[in-house]
Amino acid sequence: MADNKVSDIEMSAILAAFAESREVKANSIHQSKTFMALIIFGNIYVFTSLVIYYLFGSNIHASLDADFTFVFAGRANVMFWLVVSMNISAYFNVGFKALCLVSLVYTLNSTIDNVVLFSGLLDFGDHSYFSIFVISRPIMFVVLAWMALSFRDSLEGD
Amino acid sequence: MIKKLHFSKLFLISLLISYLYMTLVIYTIITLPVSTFDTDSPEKVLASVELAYTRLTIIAVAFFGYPIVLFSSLKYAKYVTIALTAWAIAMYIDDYLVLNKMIEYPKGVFVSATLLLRPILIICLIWMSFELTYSKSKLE
Repeated sequence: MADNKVSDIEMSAILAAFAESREVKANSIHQSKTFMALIIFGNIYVFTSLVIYYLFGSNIHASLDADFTFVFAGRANVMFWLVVSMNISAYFNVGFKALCLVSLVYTLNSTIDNVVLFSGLLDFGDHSYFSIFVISRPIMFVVLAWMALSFRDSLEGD
Repeated sequence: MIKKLHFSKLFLISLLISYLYMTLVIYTIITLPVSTFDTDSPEKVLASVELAYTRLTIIAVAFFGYPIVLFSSLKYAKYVTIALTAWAIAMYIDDYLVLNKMIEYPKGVFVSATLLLRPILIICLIWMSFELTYSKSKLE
């Protein structure tokens, strides 16, 4: 042990190597244009659907039992926090792929549940603005899967 | 040809508990008598039954499909395990925060046991996901 002396220069080099924050390291990994386009699209899609839901959701509420409308509000809240978490994890490059998978599974689960629960209770044809998001849901599945595949997370392997 | 897997005992115990739980869920849903539901709100009863059978289908697919994935590819087994864990957590959060007002759980020993043991399944799945992600499990 006594022979393993580290000089001041070597010590400062080691300290400098670990001094850089994870944020700076994460930002040094350049994501592809495809990924950037996908994450922008995903954010716009989710926030537009949330804005439309909160602006026009009362029309759907009028035609349903109060307990059933609680489902839409709950799902909107969960989706909002998932998107916020995905943006943060993409920025700091921590567990983004796992979060993408969680969001994909949650979206799939909520879609199946909605189909099962509301198929006989709600006619989506009566709410055209809402139907757009129901019909376009498969696009969101593709976007989430593609985002996870195109994300560069070489930092995690360091 | 079945490949030999090297997992920790905890992983195997978690896998065993998960399979026992899935067997319990399948048995509970299949043997559920309609008379155990509260008939005051037929819409909620219908929603609960439809949801139970939809989930039963997915559980059955996972029950028979998971060993195939586990024995063929550890890489894909990791993603399938994480996906199943995410699905179990999503259902748990959904049932208690989103669907709590519209799901009527039937009364019965097996139903109570299924609901009570649900967190244990999630803990086992989380453990399996972590082990597949971070441990050095090997496939011969």
